[in-house]
Amino acid sequence: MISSQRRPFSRAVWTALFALLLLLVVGVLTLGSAASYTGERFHETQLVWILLGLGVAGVVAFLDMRFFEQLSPVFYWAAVLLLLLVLGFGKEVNASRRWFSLGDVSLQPSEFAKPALVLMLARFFHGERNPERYTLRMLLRPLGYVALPVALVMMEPDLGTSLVLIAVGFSVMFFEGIRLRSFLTLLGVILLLIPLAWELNVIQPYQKERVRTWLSMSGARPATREEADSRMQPEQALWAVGSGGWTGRGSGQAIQSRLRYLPEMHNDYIFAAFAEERGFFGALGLLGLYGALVVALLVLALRARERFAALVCVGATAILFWQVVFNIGMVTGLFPVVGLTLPFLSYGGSSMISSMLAVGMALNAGLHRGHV
Amino acid sequence: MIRGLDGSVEYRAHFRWALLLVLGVFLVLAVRLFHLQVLEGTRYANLAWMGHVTRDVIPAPRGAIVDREGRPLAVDMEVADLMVVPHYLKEPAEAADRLRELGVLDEEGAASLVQRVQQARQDRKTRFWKIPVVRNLQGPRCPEDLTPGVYDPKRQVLVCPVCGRSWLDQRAIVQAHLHELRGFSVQTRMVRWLPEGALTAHAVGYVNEVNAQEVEASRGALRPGDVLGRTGVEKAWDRTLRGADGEDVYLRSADGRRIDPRGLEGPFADLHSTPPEPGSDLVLTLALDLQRVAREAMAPLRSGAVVALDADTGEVLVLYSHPSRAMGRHLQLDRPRRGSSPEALAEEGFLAPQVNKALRPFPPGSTFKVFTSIAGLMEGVIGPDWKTTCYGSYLFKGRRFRCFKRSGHGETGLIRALAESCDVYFYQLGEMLGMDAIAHWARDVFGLGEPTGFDLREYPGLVPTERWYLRHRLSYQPGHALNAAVGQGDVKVTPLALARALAAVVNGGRLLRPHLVRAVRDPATGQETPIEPEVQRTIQIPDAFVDLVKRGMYDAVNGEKGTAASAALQELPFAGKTGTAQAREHRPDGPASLEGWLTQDHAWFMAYGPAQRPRLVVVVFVEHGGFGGSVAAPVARKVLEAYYASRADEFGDLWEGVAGEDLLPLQP
Repeated sequence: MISSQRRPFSRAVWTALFALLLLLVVGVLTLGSAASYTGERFHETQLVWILLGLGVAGVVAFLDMRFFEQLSPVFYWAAVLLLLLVLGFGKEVNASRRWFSLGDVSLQPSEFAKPALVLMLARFFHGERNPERYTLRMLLRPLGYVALPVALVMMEPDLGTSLVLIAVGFSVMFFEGIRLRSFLTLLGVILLLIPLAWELNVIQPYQKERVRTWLSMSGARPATREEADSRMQPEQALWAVGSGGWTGRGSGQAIQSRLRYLPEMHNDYIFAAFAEERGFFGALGLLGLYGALVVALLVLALRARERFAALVCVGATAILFWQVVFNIGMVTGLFPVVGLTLPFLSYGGSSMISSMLAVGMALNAGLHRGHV
Repeated sequence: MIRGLDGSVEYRAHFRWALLLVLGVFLVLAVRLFHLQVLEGTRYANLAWMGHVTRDVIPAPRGAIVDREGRPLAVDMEVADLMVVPHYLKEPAEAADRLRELGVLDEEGAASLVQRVQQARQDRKTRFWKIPVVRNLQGPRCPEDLTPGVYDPKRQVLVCPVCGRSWLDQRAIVQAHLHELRGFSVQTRMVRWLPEGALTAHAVGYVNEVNAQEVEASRGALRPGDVLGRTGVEKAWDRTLRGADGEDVYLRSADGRRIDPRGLEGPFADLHSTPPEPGSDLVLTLALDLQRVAREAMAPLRSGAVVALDADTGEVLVLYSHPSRAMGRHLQLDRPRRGSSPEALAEEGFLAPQVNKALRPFPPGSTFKVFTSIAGLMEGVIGPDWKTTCYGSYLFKGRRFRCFKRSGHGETGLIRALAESCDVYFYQLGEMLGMDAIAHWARDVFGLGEPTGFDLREYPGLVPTERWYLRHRLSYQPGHALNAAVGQGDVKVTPLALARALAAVVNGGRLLRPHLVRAVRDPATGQETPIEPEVQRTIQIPDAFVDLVKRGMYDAVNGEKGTAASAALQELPFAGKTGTAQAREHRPDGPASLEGWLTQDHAWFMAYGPAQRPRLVVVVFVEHGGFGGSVAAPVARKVLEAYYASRADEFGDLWEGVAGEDLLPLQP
């Protein structure tokens, strides 16, 4: 199995690893700073998750691509099965079933659905022999692969992960080469589906509330009293980010964080705490690190020997990319609240390991030049 | 794509697109961050700052009001309310039962609590609002007069040593059981305690909460919940008593913790709390013991007023209006008044207990003759020896003006005319003086019918002139002057103004501003800033004339035939002038029981004592009381007696037999 030919780490790999390392350092420092406000020593536990995550990334990166290719359907259908099971037997937290509870550890199947979907799509396109631009008819199967986990995740409900799944699916298709006409048609269908989903209550009331809140916050229309109440949390995050100014308030000086007005400060909203402390320059730097990581990983996709590896690399990168975009967009009020973590910065084992898994998969493409 | 070819070629175009997408999306994020952090950064920083700074008002304690000896008349006192947050009260019925067991709620209160809690729990918002369960939890003080209770171990209740009622110390009971009463809390607030109640009600006044219009009109000076003096000294000296509220500035964290800004850096370091500036205490000129004597003396009478002035300083030692009702205390403690019969209440209402009659004008009757006398002497209309003969009435222009003594006084000089209150003498004097000369001396010189400059609001009354009659009546008749000369007709003066004028007669011609506040006291240091006596006008009258009038007033009390002879005090004589003013009223709105009362004359007595060395001026007015000498004079005598007793040392040399000197060096 390990017959694949190794090649030395390229510059892109080094860049990716370096950016990753810096992101991890920033993450731990931000958590440490948050600890000065909340007194909760998350940064220490986070180190454990980082080590665990690096281990996962390492193992995944050095595994043979063929192993993934062959087991893709198994991973995919196992993930779908888990998503089904979690709807029935999952632990209910805040009116949604997203987790299996295994003693002290909780498992979130949707985290595995993301890489599984990437593998499944990569395998599908790898098997296609048509080098031409895909037509809509040809895309029916991969669209089905996307729609199935998206529908199940929506039922949990977990809008954030559904969005990431959709975005990742499209990214892979786009990279593989979808006809512009087909792409626009799909986009039109989805835009039509949104009001339908709204009307049919596929989108949960609390999610609608978040959208309304977001609309009122962006000044699209005046806020009602209830909206003013419910926009409390996202608005506090906006205040925090805005308070940063050019250079930020400095470590341990963040008002919003100090007074605990930031909801989920160590988790979904860690970017707000970071932006308040480090300001515009800091936030720009962080974006730069993510950009470097994403671009470096994409370069690896370009260098990949085969279609499967390239698409896995692109898909895995897309997972990271979209999660960063949705999270920062949510914190800065560009999107409604969707509840996603920020890769490598947010506290937590699930988030860290699944992000590391994606990095490992992307790196794998750059490290292995073997044939599938 | 053909297997085996280097895949890198195929995706190059797509890679560029992807790169563009990544950069484009990140650019959008960067622009958004620039907008939030740089363009709007200051605004958001301010929002974050303002949003969490809490400014709580620390109300300034209102200054206390004490009498001249420092006895409390109005002080702030803390009372406690039992409150509940409905959200935490899952079983309101259970809690209500427990509170009933503890003796804090009665059956009605328990039912109301259950109902209110259930109603409040319906709504997501109101369920978190504190609602009062019991206002004014009975504490260790008597619920009626707030005197500290004495514990009776047998019955396990507190007993009031004054009124004898017994009660439970609900405040202590609730505090002891608060741990088992989830959602309940005890909240304290300040109320104004007026320990003397009705006795000083008119002088001290009362406070209550400001209303919305007043808050609006004050432009930020008043806040909802502030109290404002409504009557009496509480109103007149409200600014001094109120002080300045302080401000408690702190940061509130999202989880409700209080964070002191002093330990923080940045913009918070500039925040600071200001302590409240307590209102100043007021030391009144009132002498509580004299006030009490005045009330007791007035008690059998229906309506009237007593004013006592220090003749040298203008300090008001007694300011009592009868009847009095302690309204402020009841207003603030929310306790119902103890029941009286509806008839008695109607009668009491008709007697206007809310009106301070010491500051309302009434026809002064013969007390006015003192000032007519001085006018006659000073205008040179009469000499000290001028005499006339009284046949019981005086015929003027075909109209008969009666003397109050129908049989007539016979030949009468000034002293006798004052002592025995001969009307005929003063009719003739009035005829000679004319209206305007009387008005000049009474009003322009002695300040009758004018505002006195007193601390409290007064209704000055009237001493009319010819001009006034031409303007307000159809015409002026010389007969008006005859009536005015004996304090009838349209003459109306307040007891306070009369006291001030008499003080000016006996203190060497100094017309003083009567005042109720002796000193403003700093509550922290106890340092007093005295209010100095204020001479409003100096009146030059030859001593011989003053002595003549004084002799007349001396004889009125101490003379054999004096109108107030029955009230005379042998050991340390005082002098005075009676007044009996016709004041027949017909008021169809009054209760039937008071119809007869309304036809009676007003009884007046103005006195000063001791006669040899005037120190205290007392004016007693009894509305529809009858004859001044027999109704009003005894009241003044009691006040003077009490005054002497309280200053035995000062007048030691004057007591009869001690000094052995001639009591009165005046000659007729």
